[in-house]
Amino acid sequence: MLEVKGLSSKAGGFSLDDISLTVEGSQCHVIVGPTGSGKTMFLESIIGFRKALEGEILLDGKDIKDTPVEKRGFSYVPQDLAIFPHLTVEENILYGLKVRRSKDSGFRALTIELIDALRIRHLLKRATENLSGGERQRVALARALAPGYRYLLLDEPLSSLHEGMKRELWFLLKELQQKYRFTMLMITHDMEEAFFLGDTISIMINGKIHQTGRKRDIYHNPETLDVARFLGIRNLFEAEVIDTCSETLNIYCAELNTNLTVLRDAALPPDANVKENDKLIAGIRSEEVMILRHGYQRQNQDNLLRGMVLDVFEKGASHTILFLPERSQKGVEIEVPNYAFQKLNLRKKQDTIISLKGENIFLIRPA
Amino acid sequence: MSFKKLSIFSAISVFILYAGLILSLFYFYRKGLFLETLLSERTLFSIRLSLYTASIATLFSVIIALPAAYALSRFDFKGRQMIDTILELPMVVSPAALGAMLLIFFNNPIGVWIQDKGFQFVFTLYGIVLAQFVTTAGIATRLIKAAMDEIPQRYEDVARSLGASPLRAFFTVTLPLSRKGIVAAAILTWAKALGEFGATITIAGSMAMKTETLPIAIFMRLSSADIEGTVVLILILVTIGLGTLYGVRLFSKKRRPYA
Repeated sequence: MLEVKGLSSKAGGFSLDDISLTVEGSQCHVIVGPTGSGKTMFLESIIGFRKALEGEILLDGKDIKDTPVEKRGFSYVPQDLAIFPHLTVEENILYGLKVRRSKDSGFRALTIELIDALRIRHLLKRATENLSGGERQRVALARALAPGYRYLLLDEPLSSLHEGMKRELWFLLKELQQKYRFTMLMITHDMEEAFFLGDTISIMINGKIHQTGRKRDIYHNPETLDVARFLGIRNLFEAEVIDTCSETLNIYCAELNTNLTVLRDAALPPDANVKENDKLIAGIRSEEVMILRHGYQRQNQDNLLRGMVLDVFEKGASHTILFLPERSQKGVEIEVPNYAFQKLNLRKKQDTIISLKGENIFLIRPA
Repeated sequence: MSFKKLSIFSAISVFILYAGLILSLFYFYRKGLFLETLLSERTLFSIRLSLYTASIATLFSVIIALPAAYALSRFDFKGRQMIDTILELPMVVSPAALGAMLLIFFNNPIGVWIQDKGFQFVFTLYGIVLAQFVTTAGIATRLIKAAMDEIPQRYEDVARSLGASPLRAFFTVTLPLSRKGIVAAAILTWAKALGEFGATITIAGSMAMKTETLPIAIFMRLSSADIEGTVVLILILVTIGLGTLYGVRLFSKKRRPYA
């Protein structure tokens, strides 16, 4: 298990401030955040490339803050991969074993296994300069894993790949992690990558961890406005609590000019204390807004809003609909998969009804 | 005239300037004299002495420049800017002044003590090596630093994460990757040492068959109004110097930055 407690670091005018997180053994923990949020700096502080000013870095209970990089026991794949250009593919992969003078046949066997698992046997004698992007990723992974370290630290290694190759490597990474049970700490700015690979996700913004949690919690319950915005949620509305019950909350959204009923358990963390007249931000993901078809039974739907389609944008796999509720100041963004869009047959300026289901609405305290 | 044509014209003008100077030597060139001067014992001694001292000075320069360049390229430490600036000393101070500084140093108590302990630098072969070393060490450091700056730190980082100590990462990654740049720097340093005159004559003098390097021999021939002999020696120096530098160009042409 890797534990970071109260880590602080500084570079120029930027600083990491009091960062704590725990990476459970054999799990994949992904730190996701916008460019310039300090993700790489944090990873470099853990590996030892950058000195941590304060805090503890505990690896299986032992503080390694002052341990030299080469003795920390982290495999590392940087963003640019840093494949050694003066060595062949095979020499790159064997570099770790060579510098550690390892003659352990177990590591040799692991290396051979990795070469086969990553399907790079045919590349072994090749120079590295003509490798494709995907081949370079595979070689970098094999090199990082060959010394048999149990911790793999990845700094956006897939960011330069096209979508197809990226997805192929996601599956490969998952497969390798499940097979060899290594612990993975990865940083990325790609939300989809984070959700695909991560067991646990931390959101880092401006040098601070804003939220850490399971994928489901991060997806459905962003805890701060910054996190919600980073996750790309644009349906965020000022709200005021009107009424509280044990299971539900009644809120008034002035921007939408409507009352909404919200499920307390789904909208708030278990320890949240909310009372009447509290000012909150209500949010809902665009893909969780439901558009009702003509003639659809409406009596069982909650939080119905009547209004008009303002605009429709085609995005390939889905359509984005801008919907303006009646007498409201702010629109609602709705993501509709292609098959649903075809059934709905939506056009600009068309009157329609949407439902903001209570179980899909989350609440955030304003900063 | 387009900018492209103007810039090419400027490059050709510079070439014509230097090529014209070399070609003008042939006005005083005497065919029979060339071989006679080249094969004379005094000229051969000067060539041998120049090649020998330039090689030793280059060796020392590169040995000291390698770790110094690495430190300046990789680490941010107190006094780094000052060290970086003082490397330019041989370029901002004239070679004669540099030689004078050496001469003055060997006349102060520490210098006298060093000479008393058996290391005679003034008017000796050691003085030539020292003068060439002092003139070239800064340049060698600057050139090797430039070669190391081209190698991203990330390679060493990865090497260390794989278990290599800083020293091992240097020898297995940084040094092989900057090898071509270092060799090119060493050749340029050697060419600079070969042509060194001002500092050498100031500290080592101009004793024939003792401290007379090729540039000093040229000066001595010119002093005695032996223009034809001077021309021969200049042609020898130009051939060795430019031949070496042209070799560097061909060598550098194959270099590719590891960005």
